Amino acid sequence: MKIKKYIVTALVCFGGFSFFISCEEKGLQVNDNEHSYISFGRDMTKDTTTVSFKAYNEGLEPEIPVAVSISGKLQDEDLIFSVSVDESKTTLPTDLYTLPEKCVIKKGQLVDSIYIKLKNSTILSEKIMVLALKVDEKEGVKQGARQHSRAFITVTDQLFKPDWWSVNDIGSMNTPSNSVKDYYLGVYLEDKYKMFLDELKKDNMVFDGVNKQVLRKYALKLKNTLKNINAQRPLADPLKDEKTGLVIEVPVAG
Amino acid sequence: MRKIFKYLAVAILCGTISGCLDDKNNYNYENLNELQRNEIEGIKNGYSITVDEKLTITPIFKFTIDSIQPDVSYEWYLDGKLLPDEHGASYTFSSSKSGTVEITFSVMDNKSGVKFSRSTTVKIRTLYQRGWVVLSKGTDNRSILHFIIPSTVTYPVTVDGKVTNRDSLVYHKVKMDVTPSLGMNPIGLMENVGHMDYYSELGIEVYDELLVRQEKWAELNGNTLEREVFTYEEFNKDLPANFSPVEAAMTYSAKALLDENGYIYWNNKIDAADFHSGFYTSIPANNGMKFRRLFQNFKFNNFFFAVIPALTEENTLVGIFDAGVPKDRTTTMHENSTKLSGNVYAITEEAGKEHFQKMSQEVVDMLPASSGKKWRYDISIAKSAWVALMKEPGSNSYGLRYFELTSKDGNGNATISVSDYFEKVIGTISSYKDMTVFNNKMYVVIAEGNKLWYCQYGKDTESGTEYTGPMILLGEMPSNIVSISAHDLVPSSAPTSCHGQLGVGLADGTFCIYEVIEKKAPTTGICQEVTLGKLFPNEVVKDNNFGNIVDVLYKLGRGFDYMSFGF
Repeated sequence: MKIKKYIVTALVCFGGFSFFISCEEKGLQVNDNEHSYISFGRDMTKDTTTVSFKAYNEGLEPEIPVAVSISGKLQDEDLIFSVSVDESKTTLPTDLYTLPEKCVIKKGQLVDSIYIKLKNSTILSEKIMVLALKVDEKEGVKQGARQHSRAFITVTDQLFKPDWWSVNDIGSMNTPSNSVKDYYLGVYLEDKYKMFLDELKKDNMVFDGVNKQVLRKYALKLKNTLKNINAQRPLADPLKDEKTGLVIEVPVAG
Repeated sequence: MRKIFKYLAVAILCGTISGCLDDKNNYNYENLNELQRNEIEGIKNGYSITVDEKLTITPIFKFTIDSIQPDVSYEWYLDGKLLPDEHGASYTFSSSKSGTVEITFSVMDNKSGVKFSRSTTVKIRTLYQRGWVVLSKGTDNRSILHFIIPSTVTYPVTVDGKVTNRDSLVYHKVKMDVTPSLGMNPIGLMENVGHMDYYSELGIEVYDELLVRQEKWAELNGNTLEREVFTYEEFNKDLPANFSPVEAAMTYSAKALLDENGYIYWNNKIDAADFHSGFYTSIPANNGMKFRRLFQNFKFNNFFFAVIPALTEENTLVGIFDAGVPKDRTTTMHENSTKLSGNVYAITEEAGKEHFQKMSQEVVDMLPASSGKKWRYDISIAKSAWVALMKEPGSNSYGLRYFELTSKDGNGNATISVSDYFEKVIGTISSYKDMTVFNNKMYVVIAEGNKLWYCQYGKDTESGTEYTGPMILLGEMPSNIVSISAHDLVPSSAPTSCHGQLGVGLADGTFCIYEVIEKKAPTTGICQEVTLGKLFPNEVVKDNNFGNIVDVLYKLGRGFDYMSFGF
């Protein structure tokens, strides 16, 4: 009988307690609001920033933008922080890059960019090297989620097929398709890419893989250059890619 | 055996209970009122009004029994919601917002409680969606835009002894200087007819834009006439040196500009509903090819209006491919559909014919002219066509050409071919001013000095008779004509029952709207007599002086009205 009493009392207490706590709402907390968490824009497990000095005029020291974002505590003033190299993952020699002295996310903004200056070297014509960045933690500032806690920049002086020329941006999983290939530059050929870069270099331009106006303009320039070159050649012998022997064609309309 | 007794007992019990129920049904059958001709009249299926315009609907009905003084009560519903204060036989509606509403009228026979209803759709247009635009130049060289707004009136007419209602347009509202700070040194007007949202499923609200050619070309929102952009801004930071546009062609999928240096700059749009979603680049079309002229195309459907014509320096007409279409049920352009847009193609014809190669005649003017008559007033199947006014060089001898261009995208290579061709000599014009096309009725009006000439083209769709006859004098104006424009009004309800309307801007600053009254031979469709009837100015608006007129234009608004006008 006594046991029954205890059970009933316990049930009533539990019921009463849960009555008070059941409706208390707590959002899922990923980051606390005591710190500002700074993340790099790209997921390091899937994506890196690739830089080839072939895309730049000789002697130019390009400044590569790296996107950063802030979460957790938002700042009512500019947030100043610094980045450093994760040496365990970096292969690029220290004299080939310059990190920003201070990085800033302007007040009220959730995303911004920091700029890393790179230098070319003969070693890069043979190797692809990696620069891994991390945010320096300090009071009030922490690194963001693990996948975005490092930014990888692969640097080389070799020519390689850029992501934007192969990424599946207009197709499906089953039938992948790339808009740069289909509508602007056609099949990737090394000589064609070199010619495209030459067109960009004439205006000191760099195609960021996104700006369609730049892509269309310089694809048209390349198409016109090819037309003019081929006009000087026999009809049956248009300009070909040295490696593959394929005719260099640019499908962009206009 | 026992079971059988049980079932029997239950059946008897049921029978006993139901036998005691009262039959309260009413078997006194009476004749109830029905609607004569089974319909409520005096209410159209649809109306079109401008914001703040009042629309009074007075339905007419007659009961089969109580036809003279029926005992009824009325109800009105707006978008399905009962209007509690509306109990009258008529209802006046107006709205300060553009859009579409449904109005339902219900009449209840109080004797029987039976209700009869009819619904109608009211489209509320913005003030400047459609109407006449007059561009004039102020004494300070300012571009000044005026707008004349049409309203629908319905009046009874007797046709074959039967009274029927007919719609007509009246011009009782004029808005002067509607866009202050428009710009300087006006040259002309052009309409960019956007996507018409044929199935009204895309939520498009702005159907067109108005291009004002002036010192800095400006593109104005079709509903508000406020400036959206200066045309040069769509080059972003890639404006060609010394850019100075002279002609343009604009559709919902592309834009093209002819610069005074002969280059054409191309802009593929990425959204059919956003007039400014694309960009030009400084790289001229076709490897820097030079052009003399660029002509407008009205792109009314996705399939048959994929060409913008241009004239090369060799006086050859070519087609610039403009095949962009939006993805299914969106306004986002399908990038695959634009993959050839901007390419220049030769116009091909059947063997032995070369009407457009190195033409000996000059193209004086060339205007879109897709024929409603030919395509049964169905804009969804119509093909693009143009009327060109041609001139023998060094003389005043003129001719007309009418032709359709059909484009095909065949595995990465497009073709543009002539699918219909007509030409005629029209005689001498000593002081050409302007031409306008009545695309549905298939005639042009040509302005020469202060004279207006009427001239049919093409062939009668029923009899096949070719309209080879000469120009007919349509009227003489009190001063020289500056600009003319057509509104080839074809009501959706009765495609042949309205006259076309002609806007005429004169050098003395006046602007008039006329209806062009044709009398045609019934068997051939050839016009035997044609006169003008004045619609504006009228008894309500008497002042029709707009200052120093530069250009006039009928602004179509939504593309539907081109072949099938919704009153």
